Amino acid sequence: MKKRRLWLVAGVLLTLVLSGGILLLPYGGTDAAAKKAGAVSSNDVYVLSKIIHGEARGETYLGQVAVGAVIVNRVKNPNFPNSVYGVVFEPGAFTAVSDGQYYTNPSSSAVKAAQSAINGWDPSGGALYYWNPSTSTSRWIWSRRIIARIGKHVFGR
Amino acid sequence: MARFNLDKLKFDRYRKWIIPGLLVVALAAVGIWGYREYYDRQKLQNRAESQYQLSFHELSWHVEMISGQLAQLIVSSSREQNVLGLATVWRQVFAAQANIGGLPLAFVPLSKTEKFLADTGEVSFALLSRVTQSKEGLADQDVKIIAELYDRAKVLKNELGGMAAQILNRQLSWTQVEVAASQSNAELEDNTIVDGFQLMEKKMEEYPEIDLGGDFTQVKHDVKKVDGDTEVSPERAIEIAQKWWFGEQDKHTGNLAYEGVGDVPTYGLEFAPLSGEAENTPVYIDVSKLDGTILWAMRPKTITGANIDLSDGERRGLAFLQARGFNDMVLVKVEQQDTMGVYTFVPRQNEVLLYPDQVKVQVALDNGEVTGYEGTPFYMFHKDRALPLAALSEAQLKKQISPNLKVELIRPALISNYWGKEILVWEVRGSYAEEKFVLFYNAITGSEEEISRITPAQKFEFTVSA
Repeated sequence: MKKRRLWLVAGVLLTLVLSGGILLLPYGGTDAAAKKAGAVSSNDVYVLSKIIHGEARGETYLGQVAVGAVIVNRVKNPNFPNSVYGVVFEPGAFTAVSDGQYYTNPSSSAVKAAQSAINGWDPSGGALYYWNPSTSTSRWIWSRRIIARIGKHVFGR
Repeated sequence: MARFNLDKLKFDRYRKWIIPGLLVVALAAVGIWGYREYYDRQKLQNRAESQYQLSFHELSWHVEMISGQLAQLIVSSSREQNVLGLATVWRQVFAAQANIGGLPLAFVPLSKTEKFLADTGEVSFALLSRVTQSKEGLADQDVKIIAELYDRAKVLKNELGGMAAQILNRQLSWTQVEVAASQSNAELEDNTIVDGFQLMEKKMEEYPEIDLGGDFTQVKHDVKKVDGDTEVSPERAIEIAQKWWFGEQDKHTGNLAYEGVGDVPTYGLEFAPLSGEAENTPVYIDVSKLDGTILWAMRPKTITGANIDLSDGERRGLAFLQARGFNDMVLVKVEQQDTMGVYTFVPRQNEVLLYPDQVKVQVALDNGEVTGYEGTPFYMFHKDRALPLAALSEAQLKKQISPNLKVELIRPALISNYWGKEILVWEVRGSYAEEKFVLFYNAITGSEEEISRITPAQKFEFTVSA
């Protein structure tokens, strides 16, 4: 009898704490392991490295530079926004921005790839688009002319 | 004692209500939580929607301004009005482009519409720079091009205006466009807003491409075929690349990683590291299929720190180039990026620096190893040129330079302007306060062709994931 009452009291308390917790706790983000790693000379290199990390984390260095080069090529192309920021944050243009993966810290490989891409290294050969054939749902993208395949990505324009 | 009994009595009486009570509390908590989630989500969605509405209405408004301003340019005969009008068009085009970039239309092909804005921007910029440099206003030829742009602007204006009315009257939502676009392409066809943009694009397609004339179009360069039309085989490309990067007596084995069919058809080669090597990084080398020229190379090794300075790095970079047959190269730009030095060299013809034919070399500042080479511009543009003689002497030039500029260096050079046309110039480097500049004066006409600030950008610390 006494034991059951104890369970009941514990149950009441637990429910109150849980519901209170759900209502009162602020939404929190988690801090991933991070370290200071150096200096870049401009924000656009850093933004570029974040999008490379978000979009091509699993790719080789070559594949990462190629993704960065596509963004640099878009900035230079009159049919796309005129800055790295405009291209990266164009609504719906990059999955990594839409699903928030962009907001994690880039790897040092992504930073190096971004620097190479900004400096003019372009493994894609002037591509304006890239997509992953196994996950891409857009049919329109296949109307682009394919100019290179690097890792999981197809590059076209 | 008595009190305890009383409590016990009460407790027993209300006992059957305890579990339903708890459920009610829990349900209420979940309900409140759910409503709050919904409310927050709604707030964010409204925020996104208002951002899209802003971009769209501004786009419509800017296009209206552009068409009005183009019409004014057609009827105006005053040079001063021309300058103001062209500057306004140029500015409005920039704003309209930013507005399109703010709309969730990444998967709706709008290339004709974007091409129109780009053309209008190019033309207004070109005419603006010409009109400001001369005493003449717009010529008949210019007005004809502007009239063609105006025709297209009118179509855009009407379509956007119609869409704006629909969006306002029928309360269409941009966030729905965004949701549809992120789900699948099939549903996009049933969306009124997307239909509107696709219709606009169709109407723009009916207009032929504008012939902007020699002044406004980018100069197109032919890709070199040095050894005729026979392509280099992948095996031959690997052999060439290996000797070029590693040297004659080398044991690295390369394989074809990919083939590029962009501006220059290429073999993308990958040379795996040897088993005994300190670090496991491959070397990537891109070779032109047409004649086996190395376009670029990179070795993404980890750089442990900066032990040598930028001028040491420069010597290493220059030696790397000399060993590969680049004999008379001049350093024109150096930039330290973290622990890496990035050097831009240009070749010389007689005393003239050939800026279009640049090569870049990356040097790791820990041990001075070259980790990257980029020679695509050199490959595309380098040739023996028939250079004109400067009509403007150095003494004449000096009189023209602003007294505010502390001149450090003057030398003859060849640059390619905004449209890729090559111009013989005097290069003047100098400074004002802590700012550094490069100025290019046309060596034939004396006009200041280009000025750029080359003060090193401020560095800031960044974070990488471990």
